[in-house]
Amino acid sequence: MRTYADFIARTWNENILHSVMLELTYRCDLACVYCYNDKAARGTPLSAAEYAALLAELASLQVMHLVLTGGEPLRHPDFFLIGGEARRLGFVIRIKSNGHSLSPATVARLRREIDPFVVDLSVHGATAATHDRQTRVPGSFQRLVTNVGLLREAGVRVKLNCTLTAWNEGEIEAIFALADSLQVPLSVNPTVSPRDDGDRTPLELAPSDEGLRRFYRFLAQRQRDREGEPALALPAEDGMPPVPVSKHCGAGSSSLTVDPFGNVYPCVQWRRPLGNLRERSIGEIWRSSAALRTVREITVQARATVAAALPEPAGVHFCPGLAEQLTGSPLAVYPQAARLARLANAGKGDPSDGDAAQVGG
Amino acid sequence: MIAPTAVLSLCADVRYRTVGEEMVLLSQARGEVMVLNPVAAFVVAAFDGATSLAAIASRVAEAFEVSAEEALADVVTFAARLVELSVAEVHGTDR
Repeated sequence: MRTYADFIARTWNENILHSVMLELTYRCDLACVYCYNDKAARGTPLSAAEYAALLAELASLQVMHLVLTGGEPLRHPDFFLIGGEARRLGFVIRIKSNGHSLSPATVARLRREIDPFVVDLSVHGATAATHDRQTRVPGSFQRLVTNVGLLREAGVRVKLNCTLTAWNEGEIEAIFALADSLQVPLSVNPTVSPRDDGDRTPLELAPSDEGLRRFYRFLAQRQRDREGEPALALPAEDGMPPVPVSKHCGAGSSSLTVDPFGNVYPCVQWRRPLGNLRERSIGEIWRSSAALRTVREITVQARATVAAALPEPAGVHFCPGLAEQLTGSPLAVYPQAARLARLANAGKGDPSDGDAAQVGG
Repeated sequence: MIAPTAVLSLCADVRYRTVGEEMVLLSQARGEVMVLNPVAAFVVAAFDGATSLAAIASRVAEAFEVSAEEALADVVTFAARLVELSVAEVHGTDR
């Protein structure tokens, strides 16, 4: 039997649309300091009918994974309508939420009407002081902890995501301990991105070199301590498939992102316009967009570029979308990627000095 | 052991898509993904809650040019494995 990693590699190599992220709204009930959303973006949001048509087409294209995100997706007035339709059409649904607005009634409705495969919640620190400082909403940490419990009690799979920042890097061990105490997996992203409008203010919150070294050391030790334990994440759901592929990533080859106004992009980080759903259907864009063909060619070129410039497996830290945003070229190795590669590989041959894995478990 | 007269359906938490002749199938409860080859995908696609394993095996024998006996043995074994993994459930029999 072929593995799922083999299948994911096939989607990358053969341009099989397998996963679509829908940014339902940029509205949010938190105000995270480093949020990448362009809150000033304006347009006519897709209607419930337009979402229904989009979902039907995605199902007919055999798209399997649907990610509902935002902003805060639960702030969309038709969230349950869209999620319920996605369930009816048989998608594997992932909801990326801050978890702030959940209540026992909302969680019960989520389970009953949408039945997501997983709800990803953002954690910003191990303490209320750090978490609430980043979200700029007092009480948000306690709400998060409470709502993780609510989801788990309802039988909803939960995963925590954390972006490593200068404000939380000193408590990375405690953040993992918090996730362990809540009995949920945790992924840590060491990259802080600019806002989608080009504003680089969030980069001021990027983790320090020492913070990154501390993270990689801790992660390597944790992985050694937990060797042989079952993985909590889906195989090949993050990062590179562990089989040979011709591309650096699956952006535009197995996945797409749609913003609240129907604009289509290769991925959430790579905001190169591919078309708008009010002008062309998602299937037409997938089959015949010249911009998308270019994106796919770039991901092939990026594989060679990264391999030459950055040692494996640190290449996982390179993102063509971020490269384009920071340098104007999707193939330029930007300073942040080089720094991550250097720090992640600093301890090669010395197990105490870290590894390059991006995702904790 | 499952009888050839058994009628199966996929469990409610199972999601699947067909890509070419392959089928990707995810058990939400178990968090596991299976990638089915064309024959297995053909069998699972016939789990409609009305067709017996024997009838599915007949279709397999015809479509993939194998003997009826071999097809029935393989289909029953495969179905039993899917039931064991909580991917499929016995819906009833066609009698």
